[in-house]
Amino acid sequence: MPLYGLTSNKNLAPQIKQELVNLFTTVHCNIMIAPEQFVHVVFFEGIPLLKNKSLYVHANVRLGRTKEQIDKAREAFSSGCAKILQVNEDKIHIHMMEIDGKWAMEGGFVMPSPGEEDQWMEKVTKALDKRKNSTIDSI
Amino acid sequence: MKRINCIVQEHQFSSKEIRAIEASFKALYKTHYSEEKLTVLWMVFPKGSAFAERKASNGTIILIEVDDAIDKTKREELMQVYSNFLLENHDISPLDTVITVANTSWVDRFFAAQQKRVHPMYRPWITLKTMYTAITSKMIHGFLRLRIKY
Repeated sequence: MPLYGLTSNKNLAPQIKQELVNLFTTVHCNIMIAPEQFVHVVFFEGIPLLKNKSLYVHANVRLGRTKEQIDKAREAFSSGCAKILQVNEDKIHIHMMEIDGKWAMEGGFVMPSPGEEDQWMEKVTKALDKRKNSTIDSI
Repeated sequence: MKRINCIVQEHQFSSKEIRAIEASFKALYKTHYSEEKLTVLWMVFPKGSAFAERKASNGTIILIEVDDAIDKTKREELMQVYSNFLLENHDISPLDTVITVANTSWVDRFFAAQQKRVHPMYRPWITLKTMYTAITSKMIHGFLRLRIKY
């Protein structure tokens, strides 16, 4: 988590997809404060979208972010997508769906409540480092 | 009826493995939570359609539907049971797994949003194509696969 599902009305070139992935990863990590490892982006293509939009973004994000964070992220996604796809911002639809972090397990640990991120990050970072080191050792 | 939605990567599992995982998911649900009928839906993403950490994803993302009244202990038990199953039987690290145990009311809203994204004029056509793909996959491969590209 987060999981960003991007649905486009047309098929997208690989380079465009990568640019969108980079946008969502950067914006999410900077505004929502989360590690890159856990930003998932998936694409659905060739679906005629509501109100003739070019891109429909369905975002599953953890509950507990401030309204300011949500608004800022929404704005950055909207303008960034429009720029990448070379369309007007009104052709982008962002649907944010919040979910209680305690309902999800990621990195082997139940997601933290707002304010408990540091302890959770510490545990997950240790697990990631352990895996990285074991991979290096095996090479 | 409850649902489990699985996002996996193409070539991660064979059809035979998916069928086996589905059977195990159903058995785990029955043993640890409920005997209610369970439908498992699969979204199998081809290379270039799923990313994590800016790169092609190796991730397995599972959404498990439960009653709104579920308590914290049971929810966490389910997460742990499914995580352990994937690690012990398919060597999938918890670091590459997202397991969400979500209430029915949330899951209903999630699937409704998938419907609403489609232009109203094309909804019946897209629904038909989705159902056709899922049923064909069930007949040929033995599991309900949802369309990613249209």
